[in-house]
Amino acid sequence: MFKNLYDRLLTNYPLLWNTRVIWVLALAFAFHLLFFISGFGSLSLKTLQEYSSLDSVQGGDVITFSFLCSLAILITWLVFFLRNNAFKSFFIVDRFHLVKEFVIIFIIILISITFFESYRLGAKIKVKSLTSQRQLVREANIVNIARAFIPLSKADYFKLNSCYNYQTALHYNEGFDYSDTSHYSYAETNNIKIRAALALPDAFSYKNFCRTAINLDEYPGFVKDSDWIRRRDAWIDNRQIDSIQRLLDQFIVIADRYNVSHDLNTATLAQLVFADSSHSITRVYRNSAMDYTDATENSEYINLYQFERALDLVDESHLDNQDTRDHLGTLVAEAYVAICLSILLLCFRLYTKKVFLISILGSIIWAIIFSLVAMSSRSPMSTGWFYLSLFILFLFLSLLFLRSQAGRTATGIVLNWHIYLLPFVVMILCLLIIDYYDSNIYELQYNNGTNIMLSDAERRERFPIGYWINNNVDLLFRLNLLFVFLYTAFFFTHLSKKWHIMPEE
Amino acid sequence: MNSTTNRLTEINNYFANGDTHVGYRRLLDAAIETQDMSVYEKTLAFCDWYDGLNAGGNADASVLNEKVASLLEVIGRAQHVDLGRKYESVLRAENLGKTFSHGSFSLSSVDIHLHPAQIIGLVGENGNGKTTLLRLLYGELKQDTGTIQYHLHNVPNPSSFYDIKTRLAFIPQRSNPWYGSLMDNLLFTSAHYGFKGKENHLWTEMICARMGLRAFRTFTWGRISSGYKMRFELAKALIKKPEVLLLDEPLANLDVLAQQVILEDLRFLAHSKQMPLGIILSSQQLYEVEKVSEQVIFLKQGKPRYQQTNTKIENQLPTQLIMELETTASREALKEVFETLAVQNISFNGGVYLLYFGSEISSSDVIRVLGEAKLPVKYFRDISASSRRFFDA
Repeated sequence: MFKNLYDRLLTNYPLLWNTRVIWVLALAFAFHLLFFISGFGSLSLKTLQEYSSLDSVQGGDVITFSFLCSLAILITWLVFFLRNNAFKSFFIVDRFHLVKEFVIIFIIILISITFFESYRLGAKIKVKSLTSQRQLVREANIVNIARAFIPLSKADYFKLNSCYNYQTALHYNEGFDYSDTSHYSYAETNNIKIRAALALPDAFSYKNFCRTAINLDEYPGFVKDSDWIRRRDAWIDNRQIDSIQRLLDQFIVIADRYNVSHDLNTATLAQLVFADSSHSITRVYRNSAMDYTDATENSEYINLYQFERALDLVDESHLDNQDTRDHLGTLVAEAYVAICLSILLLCFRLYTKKVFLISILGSIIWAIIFSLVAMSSRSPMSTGWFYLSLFILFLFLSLLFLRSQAGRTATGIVLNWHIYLLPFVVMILCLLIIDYYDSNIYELQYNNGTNIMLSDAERRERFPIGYWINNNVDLLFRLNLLFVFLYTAFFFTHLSKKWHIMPEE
Repeated sequence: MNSTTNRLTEINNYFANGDTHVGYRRLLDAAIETQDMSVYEKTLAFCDWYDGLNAGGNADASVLNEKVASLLEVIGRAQHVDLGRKYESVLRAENLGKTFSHGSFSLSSVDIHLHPAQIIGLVGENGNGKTTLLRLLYGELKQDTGTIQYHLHNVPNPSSFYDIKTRLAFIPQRSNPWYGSLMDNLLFTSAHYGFKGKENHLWTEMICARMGLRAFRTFTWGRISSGYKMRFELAKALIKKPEVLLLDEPLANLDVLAQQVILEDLRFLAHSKQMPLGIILSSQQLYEVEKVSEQVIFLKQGKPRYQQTNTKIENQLPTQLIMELETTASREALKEVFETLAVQNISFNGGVYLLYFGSEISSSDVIRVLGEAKLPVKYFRDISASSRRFFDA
């Protein structure tokens, strides 16, 4: 079978044969599968509480190992890939040969440097399989209301807390003595208000708690804070101890499910709600088994952080769109790495060793000069202008040399230099425009004596381009990838073909 | 009888007379020219059988002739595709000149008109511009003076030099190493020039057979000799059906017999009916090159000192008879013997004598006098029309 495939590729699809794309992708997918399985197997219900996010599941070890695997695959691939080079050996008839070759190189590199993404995906799917979205919502609803009956901090139960009106809410600081008349803030309005509230019998009532531990607003069936607060108040008002205890029992079941460490007596917790007529909290529970202040073990506690971590992880795994948005930056960065490596490899394939080596050495020198300019410059933007000027200079020289057919080596070198700078040209241009936009806004707001903040609409009206770029930087960075890809695949390869037929002297 | 029939008869006669090696090569030429894959299949089956025969198989001449006749009949029946190549100039270089910025060498005033089915030989001592001229013609170097024009067929965009280069082939004296097996490399080349699948296999196998590389198909670069490396390069060039073939010292690494075979092959390839090829080759093997070339350009210090065509030789008598002679006899003895023929000059380079006579003397006169004098002669040659006479001594 392999012989037939080999023969078929060689005689029908020489580019696929030369790039070994079938074999290397098969190998890369096998690695992706292994990483996926590892990610899938890395988590269980009992270990979810150890991680706060999918990124933390991935961890540094996995990324390091993934990097080593990428290195091994890419080096092995290069050994075979670089054995044949149709472009250098003869003049290829297919007009889009180099475009196809660049696409294949990019795909191979991108797939070979992202094994850790499969680990992350495996972990994500495992989490989703452990706790369904429906179950997550159910558990979050229980946790949110049960949380009100497990006091872990007095401040959460302070009367002036407000989950609806943040401007009027006042935070109670447990470590502060509000009755200390000698304190400079004693007479401050807020402290006066707090002292007045502290004098009330329901200053720390269970009914004051309004913090939502797990917020799943995007999910259907999620009980919003106003609803569970109403339900909690009804239970308290109607003295429904059994309902509260049943809820707390369910909470404990969930805690056990996620291996959250705790030592709670639900009957006691339920009865404490009714310890006095104002339903004030009478006992504050600890957050961990160990009291780190005096190194003693706590008898009654629940590690709520573990709880929140576990459910946050489940939440992140279910929120596909949100996760994709959050993770897009990483994916774009990976694509940039892939495209830069692809450009480098393409240059090695298209140009002579002499041109490639000189251009690499030259690039290092340019980078040093660039760094010196950046360090010595007062304005960071002058570095950007220097970068852009270099790119334009190299592009101009490339076109000029190609036109005049002068200096094959020199032409190859400037062609290489210009393409090395290309990936970041649009980014730098955007940053320069944003800087110009910001300085104009600043000028208008502070330097014309009016000192008036420009509204969003005014900014858009006065500087439409700067405003749009400023608000769409992420999109532009992503579009730049496409631009770099198309520029290299079509324009740069076209120039390279022109260089290929240039006479030497 | 038309030219195809004549040719097939000629091939049949080669085999009938026992000249199987040349017959085999001409048979492959005829088969290749049909551009018919079914003919290729049958020819390759014959090649397999023929290889077995050479490897020690037993078959009498009548079986071979029968198989050849049968294959020739198939070739004769095949429709011979005319690729439409007209016998016009494919490469025209006028007043070509090149001076290197470093060093004092300069090539100047070279005119070349290369036609399909024509071989031009470039001769000259080392460092006199043969390689420079070939590289100029291939576009690897930029000329300082003059123009080069290509008039090639099947070029998608004739104004694009890249496209033109797809139909040019240049084989440098030292080729770069390649990886993998010989056959894989040829198949790879074929695939890039539009031959796919079975057609790729058949076309590549035919060229491989024609270049005598069948026995080396699985060999790698390190395992084949310099001569076969040259043949591989030639096969690789022919696969893309070039219209102009430029060869730099193709005979340099070949033994005497291989030189003759390669030159004969080049002559046959150049004169292909369906795919005539214009060839320019440089070499130190002066006499061998002269034998196959329609024109010889002798380069001395970058200047074309002599341009000779076969037609000119036939029409124009040389002004002087020059004989190259290797003998143990002394200069005095030679002077005495050739006094009767009014010898004008005798020069000696340590190995051979060059004897200069008036145009009224013929080579048979010289041979007659040599025979009568019973001088010990190891070798002699009439170089009156050869560029050999422009080499020092």
